[in-house]
Order: sequence, then C-alpha cells, then structure tokens
Amino acid sequence: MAVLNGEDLDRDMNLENWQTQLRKGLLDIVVLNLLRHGPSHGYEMVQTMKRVEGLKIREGNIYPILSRLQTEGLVASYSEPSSDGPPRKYFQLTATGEKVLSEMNVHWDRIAESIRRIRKGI
Amino acid sequence: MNSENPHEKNWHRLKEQYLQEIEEALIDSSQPNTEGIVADVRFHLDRRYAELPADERNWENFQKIITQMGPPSEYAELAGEGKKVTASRVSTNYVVVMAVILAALTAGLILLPLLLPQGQLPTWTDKIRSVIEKDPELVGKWVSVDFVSEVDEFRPGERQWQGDLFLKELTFNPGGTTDCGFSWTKGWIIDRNSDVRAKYEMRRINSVAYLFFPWLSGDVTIRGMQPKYYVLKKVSQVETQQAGEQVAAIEAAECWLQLVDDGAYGQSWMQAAEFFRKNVTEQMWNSSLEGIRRPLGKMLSRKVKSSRYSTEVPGGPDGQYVIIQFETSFENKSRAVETVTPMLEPDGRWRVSGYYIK
Repeated sequence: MAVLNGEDLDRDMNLENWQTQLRKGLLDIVVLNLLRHGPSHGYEMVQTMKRVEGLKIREGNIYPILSRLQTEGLVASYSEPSSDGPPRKYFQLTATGEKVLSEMNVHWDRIAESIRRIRKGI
Repeated sequence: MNSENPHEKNWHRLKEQYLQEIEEALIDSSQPNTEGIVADVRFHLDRRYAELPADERNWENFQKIITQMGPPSEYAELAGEGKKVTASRVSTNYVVVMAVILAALTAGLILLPLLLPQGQLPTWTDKIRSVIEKDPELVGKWVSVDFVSEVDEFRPGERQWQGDLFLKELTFNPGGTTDCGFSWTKGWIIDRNSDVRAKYEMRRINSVAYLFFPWLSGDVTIRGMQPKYYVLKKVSQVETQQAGEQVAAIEAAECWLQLVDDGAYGQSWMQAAEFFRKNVTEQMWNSSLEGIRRPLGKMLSRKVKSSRYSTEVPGGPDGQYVIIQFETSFENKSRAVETVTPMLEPDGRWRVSGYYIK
C-alpha cells in the first residue's frame, strides 16, 4: 500500500482539483458531442460518460448543463413514452447547437494541437 | 408516496431532502428552470432506485447514490456558468431591450390580477412560477384524514369517507413544489401534468390546521361534477422532526443489531453510545451476550413492533432517545421482543444505549 506524506497529499489534492475544474470546463463540449450522434436522455449520457476514462462526472451534473444548453438554444428536448416507466425526456442538438459545436470542436483541436506543440518544444 | 417498506421510506426521505436542497440552491441562484432540473434529477434518482436489486436497498447504497449525484451547490454552479458568461458579453442594446422587457413584465404582473376574471390564473407554467406567492402556513407535511363532499361536512374524529384514502400525505416545499406531481402558489394547488389548478382552503378547528383540497378528477374537469375535498391535517414541525429522527434511529439500531447477530460482540460494544460504554465494560457486555443472546441462535426474522421518541429513559441522562421494540424470531426462540434504545450523540449520530431481550 502506498503511503503518502503531507507534501504528496497536497500535490495530489491540487492535481485532483485541477482535473475536476478541467472536467467541469469541458462538460459543455462533451455533452454536445454526445448529442451529435443522435437524441439521448440524461441517464443514458451519464452512463456513456462513466464508461469513458477521464470523463467520469457526478451523475447529477448533466441536468443543470442540459438545462443551460437548452436556455442558450443549443439543445432542445422532447418527451417520449418509455416501456419501463414514465415518459422519458430526450435531448437533441438544435441547428444552432450543431453550428456552435462545430466551432467548439475546431477550437478544441487548435488548443490540443497547441498544447502538443508546446510539450514537444514547438 | 406512502409505503410500508422501511427501506423505501428511507429512500423517499433521503431523495426528497436531496431534491429540496437542489431546489433551494437553484432558487438562491435565481435559476429560471429550477423545476425542470429538479424533475430531471427526480427521474434519474427513481431510475437508480429501480435498478438497485431488492437485497441491496439499504441505507449505505442510498447514501452512495446520493453521493454519486454530487453536492446540491454544484447544480447552481453548473446551471449558472452560462448565465455568467452571457452576462459578461451583453451589449448596451441588449441591456436597453431587457430593461424594456422587464418594465413590460412588471407592468403585466401588476395588472394581471386586475385583467383576469376572478379565480382564474394564467395557464402557462412559467407565468405561474413568476407569480408564486408564498404561504408559510401551507409549507410542511400534511396527512389525509378524510374525503368529504362539502368543507362544512368535516368533523374532526368522525371520518365520513369509509374507503381507503388514495392521497395519503402531501408535503409542500418552500419553493412552490411538493413531494409529488403538484406545484403550488398561495391559494392554489396545481397538477403539473394537466395544469389543472384547485383552490385550497385552510381552516383551524380546535387549534389544529386543516387543509381542504378539492380533488379535481375527470368527473369534475370533464363531466362537470362537483368536486370532493381531501381533508389534510398539518403534521407539526416537532412531529415531522421526531418522525425523521425515529427513522434514523431505527436504521442505526438495525445496523447495530446486525453486529450482535453476527456474533461481533466486541464491535457492537465499540459502536454503542458513550453512555453505554461508560457503564458497561466490554468484558461485561461480551459475557452478557454469550450468556443470553448466543443460546438463542441465528436470527430468523425481525420487524419493528413499535418506536417512541423520548427525552428521558430510566437510569439514563436526559437526551434524545428512541425506544424501539422489535418482534424477533430466533432459531431457538420463535417469539422474542428485543428493546433497543438508540440515543442521539453530540456528533449527530444515533448510537445504541440499551438492549434488552424478553
């Protein structure tokens, strides 16, 4: 079993904090990209994200994000009957959402490339 | 809404508390879609519970689900980020337009009650939310006591309705929501699915608050019949709190009894209340259980017979206690009564301070 001293613990906690902040900052683009493949409901999106390394989120986080994206006009919702319970709320990208997402993806690719270049010494 | 299953009750209590905290956090940060977010989270939680195998429906797993959902404050933070970004980008024109819209809305809200026919409210949910009027007397838990044709027909203690009461209880939360499919604003209870709203009335009879809730079934809304009224009695804050305490105490007692059932006597002593440990040494406790409990054999079934909140017990210091009696069947004694008395300790946890088997 690894034993952490105080310094290691501080460093690890800062790293964890940074990872949390980064994950939160990226949730919009993650959620929008999930919807790019078709309509989905909150529970399903959470399950998908839980399976992806590094994207594990707190399950409830998805709902305020979807609500905000809806308010911003990037996502729309509709209800559909469900075989195993009450009607399920599905979310889908709007035309604006698709356009904004394309721009976000381009921007993200640029950032990722910039970081890669910096890491390599440009 | 109302269940006899203690696990289901615990889950319901935990879920509603969590949803209320989310709602409060969102309302505090002025989120316009509070109701929608809370409804989505409720749906998610119901699904998580439904997927939990029956033998894993216990307090520990319920807590785990809630922990995995994240703290209520995060909902406001995540729902609000977009709003903050947008605010920093707003142009002067946008501010002017918003000011005009706000002024128009304010004028509309002032004029609304005058423009609408008496007793009629606007039909769209957002407008309802924007005109929510508080009613502190309504907030809290109510239990159904009768179902009457006329408000004046109700007599406390003389039940008119002989059948089962479909609506067992209803809790009105401060933000205009309830623990089931209704929302509310002062004077009105609104069915969130159909948007049908019922004008409630409150009366005090012999100093007890009663709520008269017209039940607007299809007979009323479609066939035009007169509504019947659910009569609900307010559960006092003290009663609500004590009921909640009892649930927590029973949960603690059951966990502790599990240790005794498993023969983990040392651990059961360690996890008992401080008062108990000060008065009974671990050695005394072990030998008592070896002499009394072990001969009874394996526990076969156990159910709560009664529970009672008390601030005093014989031989114990004043405090908060719940005296619980379990009807238990052991391998070598088919009918026994176990009395377990958890007490509330300064760290806010219930720990067992007394245990008797008869």
